Amino acid sequence: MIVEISAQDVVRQCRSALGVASEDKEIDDVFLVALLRHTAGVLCPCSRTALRAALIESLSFLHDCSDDLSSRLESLTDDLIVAGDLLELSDVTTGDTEVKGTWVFTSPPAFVERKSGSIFLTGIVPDRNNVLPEALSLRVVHTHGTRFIDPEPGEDLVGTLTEEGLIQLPESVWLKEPKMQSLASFLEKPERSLASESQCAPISGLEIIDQDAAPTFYRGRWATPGTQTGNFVARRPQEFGAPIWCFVELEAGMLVRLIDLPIGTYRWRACDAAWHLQMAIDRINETPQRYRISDKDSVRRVDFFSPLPLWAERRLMVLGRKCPGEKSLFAYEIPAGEAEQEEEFLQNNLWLAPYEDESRGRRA
Amino acid sequence: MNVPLDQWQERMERHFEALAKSRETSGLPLFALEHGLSSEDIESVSSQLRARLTSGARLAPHWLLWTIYAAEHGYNYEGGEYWQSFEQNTPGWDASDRYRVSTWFSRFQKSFNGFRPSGAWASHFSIIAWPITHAVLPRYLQRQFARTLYVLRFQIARTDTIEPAVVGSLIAANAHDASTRFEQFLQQKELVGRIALALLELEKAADGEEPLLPATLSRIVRDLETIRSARGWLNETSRVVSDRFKGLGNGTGLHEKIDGVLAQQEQARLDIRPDLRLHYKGQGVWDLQIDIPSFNDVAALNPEVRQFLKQTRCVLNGASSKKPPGWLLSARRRAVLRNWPDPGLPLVGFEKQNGTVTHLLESECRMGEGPHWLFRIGRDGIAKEIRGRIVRPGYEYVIASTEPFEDLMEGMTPCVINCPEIKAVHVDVPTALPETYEHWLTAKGLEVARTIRVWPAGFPGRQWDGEGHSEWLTTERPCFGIVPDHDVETYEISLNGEESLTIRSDCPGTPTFVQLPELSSGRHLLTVRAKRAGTPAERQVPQEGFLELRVREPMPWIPGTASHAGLIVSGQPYNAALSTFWENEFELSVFGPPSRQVTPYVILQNAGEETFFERQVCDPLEFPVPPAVWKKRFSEFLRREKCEWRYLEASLGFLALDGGDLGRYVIRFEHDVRPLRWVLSHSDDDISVRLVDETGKEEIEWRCYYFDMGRPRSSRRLDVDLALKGMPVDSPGGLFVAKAGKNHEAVVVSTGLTGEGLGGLGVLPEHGHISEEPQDIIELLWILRYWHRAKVAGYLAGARRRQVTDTLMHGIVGVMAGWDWARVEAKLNGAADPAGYMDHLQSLVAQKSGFASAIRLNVPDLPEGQTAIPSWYTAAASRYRISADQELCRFATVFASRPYDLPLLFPQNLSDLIHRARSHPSLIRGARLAVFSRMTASVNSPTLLPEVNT
Repeated sequence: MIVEISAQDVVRQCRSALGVASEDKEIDDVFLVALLRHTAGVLCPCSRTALRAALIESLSFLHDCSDDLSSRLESLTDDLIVAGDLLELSDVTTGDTEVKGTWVFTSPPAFVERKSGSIFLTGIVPDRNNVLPEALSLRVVHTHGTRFIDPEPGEDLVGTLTEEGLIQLPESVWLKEPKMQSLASFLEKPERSLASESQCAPISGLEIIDQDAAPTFYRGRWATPGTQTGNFVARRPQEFGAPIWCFVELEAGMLVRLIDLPIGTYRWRACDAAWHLQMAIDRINETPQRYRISDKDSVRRVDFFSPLPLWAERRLMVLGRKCPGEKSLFAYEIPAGEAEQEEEFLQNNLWLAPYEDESRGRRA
Repeated sequence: MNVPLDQWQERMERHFEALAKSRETSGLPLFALEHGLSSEDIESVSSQLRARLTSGARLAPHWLLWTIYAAEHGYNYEGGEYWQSFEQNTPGWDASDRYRVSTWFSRFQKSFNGFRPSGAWASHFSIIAWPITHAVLPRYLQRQFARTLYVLRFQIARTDTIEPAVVGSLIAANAHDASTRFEQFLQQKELVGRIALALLELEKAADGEEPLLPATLSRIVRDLETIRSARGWLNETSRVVSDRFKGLGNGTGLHEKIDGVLAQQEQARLDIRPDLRLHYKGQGVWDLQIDIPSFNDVAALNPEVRQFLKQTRCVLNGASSKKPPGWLLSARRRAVLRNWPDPGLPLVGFEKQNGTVTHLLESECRMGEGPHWLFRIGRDGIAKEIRGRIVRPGYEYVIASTEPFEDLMEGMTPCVINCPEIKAVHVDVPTALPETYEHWLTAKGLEVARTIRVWPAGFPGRQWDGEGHSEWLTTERPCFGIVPDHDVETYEISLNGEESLTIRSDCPGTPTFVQLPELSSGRHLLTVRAKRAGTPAERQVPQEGFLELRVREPMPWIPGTASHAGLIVSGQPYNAALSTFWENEFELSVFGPPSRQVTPYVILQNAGEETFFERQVCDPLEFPVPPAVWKKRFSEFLRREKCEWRYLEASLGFLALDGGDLGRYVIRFEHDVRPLRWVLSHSDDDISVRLVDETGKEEIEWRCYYFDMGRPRSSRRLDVDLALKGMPVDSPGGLFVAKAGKNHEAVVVSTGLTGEGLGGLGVLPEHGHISEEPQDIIELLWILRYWHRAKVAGYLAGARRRQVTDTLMHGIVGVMAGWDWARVEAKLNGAADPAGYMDHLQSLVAQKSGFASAIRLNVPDLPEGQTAIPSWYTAAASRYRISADQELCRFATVFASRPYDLPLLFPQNLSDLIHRARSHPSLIRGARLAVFSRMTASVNSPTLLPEVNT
């Protein structure tokens, strides 16, 4: 039967069909993300613009006009890429000669088991808002960019999802992290590469990260070479563009050797290589970079004092949301259940140490 | 007491005769599995048959029991080799007896109107086709059956009847990617429908009308429900289907219903109309692209059409190259057309003819008639063909024509479509159209629209072209928004000219939303008739617009496949080095469309980026390619090509995954090569080693040494020029060390056997005489370090290197801790029960036994970490008055756990420390006991274990 319905009913029924029913009639991020997944299943492969345009049209007169829907959709599309629901051209091939670098593709349904026991779901299937049987799909918890299910006691959820045809992804594949190494072997390559360079002439405008400066104030660590001796993460100016990240050997403040970062093939940015290297240097110098963790309702807030490599920030983006720092550079709020594993990651893979601050609720 | 076989034979003959009689009316065939025996009865009959076979007695008198026995085996076998498992379970069965099976089943068929297998599969496997077919639904097909029901649950739920034959026909027509055997099973539509309905607890046949004995059907249903995933699928299918069937009963006119259902489906299947689009290439130039819907629905018409589509290449009207077989089946496909399609021909053709497909293409697969075609430019920059030829003010279009454009109006700019002999003009339609403008458009067969905007609300419509065409699923309730830019009094909305709803419109710019019910598959027409407010004359001319909704069933999801026509590749670790890849530790997964393949190649390049090794790894792989399959194929490749060590010569490696028209994905692996390094090369069974120098420094002294595995302390200086050219490695191999300035590189190369038997796999290293002079011990520690830190290559290299380092360690411990101690340590190494040797070592530590007891008691429970054990040990040594020398205690713990690091950690005073430690052997022995206590208590104590790179 054809019926006339209100704008609120349109939203309510869409939410229900997407499995994100709520009393809230707002077009919130959880709804938009679910709608983006649905639309990607319909349109992909397509450009991000096409995804956004389709939703802007279908949500005409359904959202608050003052809302910058376009920007929100753009940002949430990024979240879906980070969460692995959407793939970029670098992750796939296609026989379609018209495909451009801005196009996105749907990834096949998969899941990732976390140490906490939670199972994160990724992937999009055309024509289906959920590949799981109803009993399981009702248990899916939708957050900003992710979906997860918590297993019931004694339940073999991994086995069930595998039987359903979902692929189990190792966490490192999902998060696209580099291979983890011990501190010593991580430092070996840059130090060896630097040592094998020929001596170089002085460079004016060189800036280094001063290893004697407190690692809790990132901007304050940048300095021009004084009388330092040793190996330092640095930036050297170039005529056009941003300074180039490099690794330098100084002798009483004088430049001896220099090598640009990253060394060899590296899938991430030069600054990611530099920041990771500085973390290792700080740890070996026994002045590790810090993070501060504190309780906040049902989430844990992690404050950082130095930038994180993109691949490290990616996993925090997947799990939680970024927020402004409080006497720190920035912070992330992550589910309490995931905090332990994330702390382990920060300590083992980024060689960070908890920050002792008694004035704040929780220890480090 | 066992019923004898003769009685069983007689009983079964009576059973099947009665069953055959009851089926006379329906004419449905019998299956040997319909014996009605309990599992105990079957076991009793089977064991007697086996006993009779081994006794050599005649088998013929019990032919019917053997028929049942073979069908039972067909029911339980796992889909592999039928005869292999049959013979394993039937001792005394000879391969020459196989022909008897078909004789027995033929007799069964003739005597009781038994089922006769037919088709290509049955003629290829003329004997086993009998027992497997007579097993009705063998266990190995049951999971597939449950999965098929699950995938088709929405279609089943949408049929108007619960007639078994209708449901069976529906399943048979829609089960994509079924195995040959499963397809054959599905052809028994009545039976398939009955099993499906029984599984879903929807149907009970009248007596005598069952296509299968109720007991046999119950057994299959019971077995199906025991399969874990099948149970879940069935529950979910049942949930979806049961609501739909409530209140429905068996109807009459069965064949009409089948035809009706299939005709209804066929109507939906006819939706294969491609879309034409223009993609902007810049500078006023456009490419024409065709976007073709999947032909899976066409394939579902019948197996013959499916085979045709799978095996026949197609050609696109306007493209020169042919597309591979199956191209139209995998997903919605796109291609660029370099010639404007001939509107007189279908947009898709095949290199061979098939009556059904040709008919469909002729009627459904055509573009609009020329000579003018209208494309609207969307927000995504893509121009889609508007078949309705309606132009809206304020929008942008491309108009294509075979005729030249003349008298261009304001906002019209000539442009180019990359097809010869087609003209085009870009039109930016003004919001207010002068009359001349309208005339210009009308002359081209185009119509100017009034604006009542209608759009899919909430969910975007599939294939929504902005002009009323969209695609929906049978599971969706399409919702549309309507907003006028002028006064409208009411809307009258009707669906397919029948149901209608009248809604009062709000003021201009205010939307109205309408929702449709779930629609059956096929085409539906939604008419929106707007009655305008205003003058009576205006009110008498209502505006009318049409929305065409193409509705289809949801496409089934096939696990492990990509939804786009291309490859999805992932690997772990994300930035794997070449060594990780080549040592087969790279976890590769590749996904792609179903029924397609990918061919892997590996390529190695030297520092000059010249390719020196390029091979196809294996035959093309089917999707998905999970890590286990990749590792197996790559491992076989490395062995077959004898190229396990070729990567050592390379600076770069690539894995190229060639998916043909799906694209080529290349993963780059960088070899973390040192400027000075040893590389290996194979020639037949010989290994040679070559030094590669890329230090680029000319004024450096090179030195090369060789340490034999048999005498690991003795070095031989090698000629550097010879090393640079390459030199053969004699069995069993040894340690090659090269030094050039700050660069040094060591590799342990292992080759050949050292003797006969298992002993020949290992080596027998000797450490020779070791003096007590600190300098000699320091030299030995350096040698240990070389061996320990070296890379390994070749046959059993890791294990042999371990034998060497164990031997050297034995010598060092002997000198530092005493030879009695070293001998017990050697026995402890590899002992199945270490407790006795640990007690012995404890007794040897010091005269003050409390120190050793404290070590064994406390060390296993100390926390992990670099400092916990050394701190505790230093404190304990002082407390038990073994030594209060903290530096010496630290030396002892490092000696015990990482002796190869001593030369670096104590560069200034190592000689002195060795000298002092030799006068405190209890301190060394205690530290070694701490190491062993930790090792025997836990495998996770890396900080105190003498680790070796492997």
